[in-house]
Amino acid sequence: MSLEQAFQSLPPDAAEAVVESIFSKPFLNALGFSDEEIVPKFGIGKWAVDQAARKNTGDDIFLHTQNDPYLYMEVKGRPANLSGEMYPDHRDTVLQLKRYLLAPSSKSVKWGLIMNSLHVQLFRKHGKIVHPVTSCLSLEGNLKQVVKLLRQHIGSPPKALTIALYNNKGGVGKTTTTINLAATLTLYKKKVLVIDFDHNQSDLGDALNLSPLKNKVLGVLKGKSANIRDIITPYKLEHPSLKEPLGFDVITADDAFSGELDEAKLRQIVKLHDLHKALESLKNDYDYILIDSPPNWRLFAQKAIYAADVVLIPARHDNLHSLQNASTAITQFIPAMREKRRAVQESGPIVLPIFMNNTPTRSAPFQVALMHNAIKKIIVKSKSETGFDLTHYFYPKYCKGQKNLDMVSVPYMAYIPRADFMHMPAAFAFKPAREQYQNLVKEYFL
Amino acid sequence: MSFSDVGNLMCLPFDEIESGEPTDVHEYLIQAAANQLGPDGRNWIPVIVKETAPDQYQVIGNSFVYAVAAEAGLAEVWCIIADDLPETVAISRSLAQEVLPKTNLSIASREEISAAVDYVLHQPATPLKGVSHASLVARLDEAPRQYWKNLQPITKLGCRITGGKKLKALEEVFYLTPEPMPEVITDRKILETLTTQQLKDMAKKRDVKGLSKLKKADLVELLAAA
Repeated sequence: MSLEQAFQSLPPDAAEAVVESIFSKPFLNALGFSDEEIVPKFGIGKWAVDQAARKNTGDDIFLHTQNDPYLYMEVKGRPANLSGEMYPDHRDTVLQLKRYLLAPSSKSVKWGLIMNSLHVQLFRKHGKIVHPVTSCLSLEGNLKQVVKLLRQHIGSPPKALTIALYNNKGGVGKTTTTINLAATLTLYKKKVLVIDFDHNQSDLGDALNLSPLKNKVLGVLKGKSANIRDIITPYKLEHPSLKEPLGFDVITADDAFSGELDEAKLRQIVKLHDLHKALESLKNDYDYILIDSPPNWRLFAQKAIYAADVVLIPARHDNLHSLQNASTAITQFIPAMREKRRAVQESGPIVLPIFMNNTPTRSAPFQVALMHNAIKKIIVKSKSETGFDLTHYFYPKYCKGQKNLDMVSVPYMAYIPRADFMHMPAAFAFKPAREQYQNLVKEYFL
Repeated sequence: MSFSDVGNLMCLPFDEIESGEPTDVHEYLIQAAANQLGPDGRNWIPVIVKETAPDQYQVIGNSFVYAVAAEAGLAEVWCIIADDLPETVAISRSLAQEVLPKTNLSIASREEISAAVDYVLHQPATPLKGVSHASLVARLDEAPRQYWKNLQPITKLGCRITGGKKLKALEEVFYLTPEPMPEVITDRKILETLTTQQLKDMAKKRDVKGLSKLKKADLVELLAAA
């Protein structure tokens, strides 16, 4: 039976078992997996995912060996509403898929699909991060296009995860965190590109003793004259005890944007999606692309968020505005960019739990209580005004029956600003600082 | 139909229940809760008991509730009858927070280590003052702890943890089920934790000659290269 026929033969209220028996196999076949490359009810520890698939290589027939799965698909019945991310059915299904993808035995899996034969959405796994790649795509009437789109994605998995560091409050440590995350990821043998997109300050280049670019970025963004590879500067740390130099690549800020710029004029010549497009060609060269975005909600910040797969928001416990602004970014700015990308069938960035920078080492209980109270107010306010539940963005470990107020944090350390004066990342210069960032990296990404 | 009472909620005469491991919570908590309960009250949170003989029971969990019932002078206490397996006692005491559950450091994930260390550091009178959570977790995670026979190697990690009180505090939450050391080790990190003598023995087994002049660093280099 062809996919089209299978689709037509499904009753309008087909239950999960019906969708499974009639539609799942033709659908995976259409995505390029033959019958020997599909295993239904694939066991993952104590759970089982509805379908798992992988291309056969030589004698290694997936149906027989059942090792190294490449793609999981979680199937639901038609009554389960998967048409948008605001529906509870969708949320539960995604949580289920995430649990499967992040299980220790799923190391080799790169992709996850959720599907109820009416809608389908593709997710990618990169280290510890699971993020949506496409929007919730409707299969009705455009089966062929959707299958083609999914095949394109699944056939060529990009190597890189693009992370934007953003908070529209300044001084929360975006640049410092960017540099040190890059340095720490390098220590885990990851290839990293850092983009300083805060052209007004160009602090990132300065912190590494790299000089800013002169009128080059505009050409790259316009995508005509220049190649993005030409404006990459490598940062290297050489030391007698290192066998080979440690380092990562940097695109420094551009002087041409630093002065007073007429934003309206700039908007006439560059587009929102041009950074996203420019990075496309680099996505197989790097494991991580970090974008240090400026502290405002203007053109460059928007471009950075638009281009990202995930957004990491640093905040400070002693700065109320940094917390409030984080909530504004999550409830308004980032959804706006997601809306734009959904228009082209992509998903746009997800937001990682907010991370607290410069927390005091010796706990000052009254100050901590002050912060928790402020966060409580923010959560209540956003719930009543926009219906957005921010609890998990602030308290990632908060769950049923457990009031766990632990936050992801990096404490204040004199080493971190001191490294700035030495023009090198603190994670390279000082072991205690390195260990803090190692924890951060493991918490989020590895 | 089963005649066993296991799993049932029963109202037992207080005299038939003997105390198990007594609770160590502060007297005030027992007194105040007993006053609230009163001599005619009902303990809605049951005591967990096992049957030792006909009409004879022993407390295995929620001994705090038992202590309160005794203080309040209840004639009858609501109990759940459990079986008498040793695991049942262990899990009942863990669920009632009467004992501290331990983490297997030999196989624990980074998250588990992080939570356990965080717990120890947050105890009011922790001897681990000045120990950095991030450093200890990062170094424990990367250490060859699957081979550790005791927690002593933690003192060599350079995290301000010395033997004695500090190590004892960690022993409260960690236990080990060590794997035997493999015959051939080439991992530099593991080699560095061994003594020079152990390294020499290992090199001898591989028929390496001229060991007497070599220093520890050279031995590590030699064995790691093989």
